[in-house]
Amino acid sequence: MSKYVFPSDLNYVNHASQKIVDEISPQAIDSGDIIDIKLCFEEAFINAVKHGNCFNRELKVNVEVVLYENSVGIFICDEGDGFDFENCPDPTKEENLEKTNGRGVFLIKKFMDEAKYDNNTKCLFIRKYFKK
Amino acid sequence: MKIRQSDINGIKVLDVEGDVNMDNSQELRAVLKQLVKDGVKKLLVDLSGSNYIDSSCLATFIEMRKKMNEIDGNIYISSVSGKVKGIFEVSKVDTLFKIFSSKKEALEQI
Repeated sequence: MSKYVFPSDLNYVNHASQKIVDEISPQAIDSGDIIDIKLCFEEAFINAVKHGNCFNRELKVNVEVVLYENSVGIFICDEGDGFDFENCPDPTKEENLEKTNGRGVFLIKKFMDEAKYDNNTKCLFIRKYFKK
Repeated sequence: MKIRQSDINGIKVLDVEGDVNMDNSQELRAVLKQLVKDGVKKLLVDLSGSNYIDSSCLATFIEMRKKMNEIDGNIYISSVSGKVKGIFEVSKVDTLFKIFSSKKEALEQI
């Protein structure tokens, strides 16, 4: 298990996701799995900075990575007021299709095997099972 | 990310190479905005050199589609494959654009 603390700054997106990729690479053989995890982690990090911490640089994004034998679990925790993860509007509905925001959570739900946000801890947990 | 511009048969072609994500999608957005400002009416973005995009890249394309529509122009996309194609399809953003399988096909049909 590894823990990281990042500032609420979108300039850290690549740096943070590279840490995750480096950590999962020995176990995640399928390049598609790595791309899915990188994508969803980056979307989650961006949400934590934008919607969780509202760009407040005093607040941190705390990340915990747990590697299992056949999967990886990642907690991405903000220090803000939380957000309604479950009831985000569906961006694939006709009325939302031309909107320029609101796809991050949708992509996380689509490409991860598990995705849950805990409004008490302000942590999003994502999990991906590795292809053999 | 690298963006290479060329003009082919009256079509402005942008070859995008590398990841397009939150870190650099603003750069792509700025280039596209300038082209719209310059009055470019036919714009083709070829993604054969990119195998990673995120939601900020999709947002950039959607915003530019709107701006192109405002000047009666069109933005086309070509050569999406693998995960990039999957992201376009799962989000249904592919339904907003004419997407060609290759740059060659796009240049023949636009």
